[in-house]
Amino acid sequence: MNMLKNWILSFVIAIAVFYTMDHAIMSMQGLPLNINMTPAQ
Amino acid sequence: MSPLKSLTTARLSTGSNQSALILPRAMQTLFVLFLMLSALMLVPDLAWSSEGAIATEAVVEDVVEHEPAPVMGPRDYRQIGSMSSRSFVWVIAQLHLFLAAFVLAVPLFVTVIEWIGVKTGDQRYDDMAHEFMKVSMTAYSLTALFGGTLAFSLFLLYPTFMGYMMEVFGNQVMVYALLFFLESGVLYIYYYSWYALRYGNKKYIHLTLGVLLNGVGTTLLFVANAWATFMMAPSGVDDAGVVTGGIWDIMRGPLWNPLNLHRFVANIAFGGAIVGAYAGYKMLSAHTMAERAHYDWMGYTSNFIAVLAFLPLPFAGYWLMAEIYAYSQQMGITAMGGILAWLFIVQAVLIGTILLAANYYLWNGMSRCAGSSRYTWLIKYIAGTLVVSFLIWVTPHTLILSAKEIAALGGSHHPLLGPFGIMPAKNIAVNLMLIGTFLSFQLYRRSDKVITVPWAGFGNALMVAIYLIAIANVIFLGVYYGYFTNTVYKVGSSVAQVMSTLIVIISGVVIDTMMFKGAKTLPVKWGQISNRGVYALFALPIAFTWLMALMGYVRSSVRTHWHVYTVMKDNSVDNFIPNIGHAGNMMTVATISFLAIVLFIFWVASLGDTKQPKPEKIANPAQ
Repeated sequence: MNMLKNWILSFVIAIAVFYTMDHAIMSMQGLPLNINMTPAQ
Repeated sequence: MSPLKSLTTARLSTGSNQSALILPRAMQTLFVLFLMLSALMLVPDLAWSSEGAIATEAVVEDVVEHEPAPVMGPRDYRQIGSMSSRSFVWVIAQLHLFLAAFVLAVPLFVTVIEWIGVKTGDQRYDDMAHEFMKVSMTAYSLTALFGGTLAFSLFLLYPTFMGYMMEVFGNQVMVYALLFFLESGVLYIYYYSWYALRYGNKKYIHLTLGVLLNGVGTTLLFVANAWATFMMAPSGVDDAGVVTGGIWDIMRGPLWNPLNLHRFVANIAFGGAIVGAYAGYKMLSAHTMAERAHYDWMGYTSNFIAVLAFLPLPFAGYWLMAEIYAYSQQMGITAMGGILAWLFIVQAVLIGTILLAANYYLWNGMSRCAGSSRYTWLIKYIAGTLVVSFLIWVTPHTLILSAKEIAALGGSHHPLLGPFGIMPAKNIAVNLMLIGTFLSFQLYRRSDKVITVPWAGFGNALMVAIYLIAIANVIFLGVYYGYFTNTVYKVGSSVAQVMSTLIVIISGVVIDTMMFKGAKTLPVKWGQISNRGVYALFALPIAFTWLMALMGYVRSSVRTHWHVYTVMKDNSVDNFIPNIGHAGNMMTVATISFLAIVLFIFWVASLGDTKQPKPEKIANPAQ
């Protein structure tokens, strides 16, 4: 059960990091994204 | 075990621990301060006040009248017999650049290795650093010889062009010459004082000399880069070529810093590959197991340096190309969308070779440690990823087709493989190859350790999650923004792909460093690697050298029929981009010549250690 929690937590952290990074990097270039990652422009 | 020690295993199979080098804190503080000062000096924007320099220069420039760039005619070009001047200068310049890259790179990682020797107290690092310097000493004089020959050939064969360049750069070229005096002096003192300044406070003096040597060498690189980038993207001159700005305006064009970064990092990768070949050669010709083990370790360290420096290179190259596009769309399209586009397919072949060879060496190296059996099952997946990515990277967009073939194909692009020919697919491929290569490194580093931290389960799960999500992110960014959105989002998504790869590398290093605290170390048998793995160390410098020649050809050719782009037209008989076949032959001649020179350098380095045995007493022939 501990191992399952580890895996779930790890994937949640990784997805959160990459999702946030994608939004940040694209916004910095003046290319905002919607929540579903589609171009906002 | 400290993270530094975990980079390479502390024990050789036949070695022993060495005594620590004891150094006082005051000297350490002074050395760190010197490092910081040197770093500040190397930052071009802070090195001297640009405003002050321009203000001073402006006063002088008001007095001096500059001529526009001359319009060249047949009398402005010379030839040696019937030999093409461009071909002659091409080979000499390329050989000079190969050697210069090598001699600038070696002191960079030698100083770091010497520093690691100080911090770990392990004298093997100091001995290895000294041996690397010994190899580069012969190369230094050859670099100067080719540099002198290049200068003579440029002034002889292109006197008017060189006259204009002297007009533009003025006294800066004397600064370059003076820097060579400094470089030579510091280099000889650094090398020959190695054993005189080996311990205690004196070691820090020696390290300081190393930093100074690298500062001078890097400045030399930056000064010379200004000439090349001025020819591609002139600054500080008007449309007619009349000098309008100070030397700082002329040097700091839009391509200067991208080229500075790219060449600085690429030199390190190149230098690592060359000394790796030296280590491989010495290992295969070793007479004792101890010697074989020593050179095996040296080869691993060289490969580590080469690949570590190689990983960020695609990003530096991307920046350079982005600046070329920003400066001139025409030049950018010539490079990657027009006549020179196919060269980037050749580049893909060479980089694929480099990555496959580097990974193959690491996989073979895993046989040194029994603990690697936990990870070897992953090798086939890394290999598969590398091969598939390589094939995608190598796929061209436009094909060389006859009219009949175009009709049969239904167009100039292959219906299925055509989409692999454009940049989004290449970006996915290169990022996956870099992630795969880093994974090989990470597995190798873990092979000789048994992790004992209580949170190992979470750490490993996090690492796996980061890899899988990064790979998924790279593919998603490339496919969705590359094929289903507009061009602006397509180009912007490549930055996020780069960041994904960097997150994997940085998090991998950080998490492993934390997880290795208190880890049990398994024995590593240096010298126990198949000879096949060592051959990969020979493949690396060959591919690197040919790649340098190829990219040099691209850089020169983007100027098309200009000596100085849009300012000074090339009116010689060679005012066209040479065709790829001819260029391939020229690059191969330069590469083979350089490799022959490298063999000479290795031979001379070994010659210094050779001692003829004293002959037994010979009877006097007169009696």
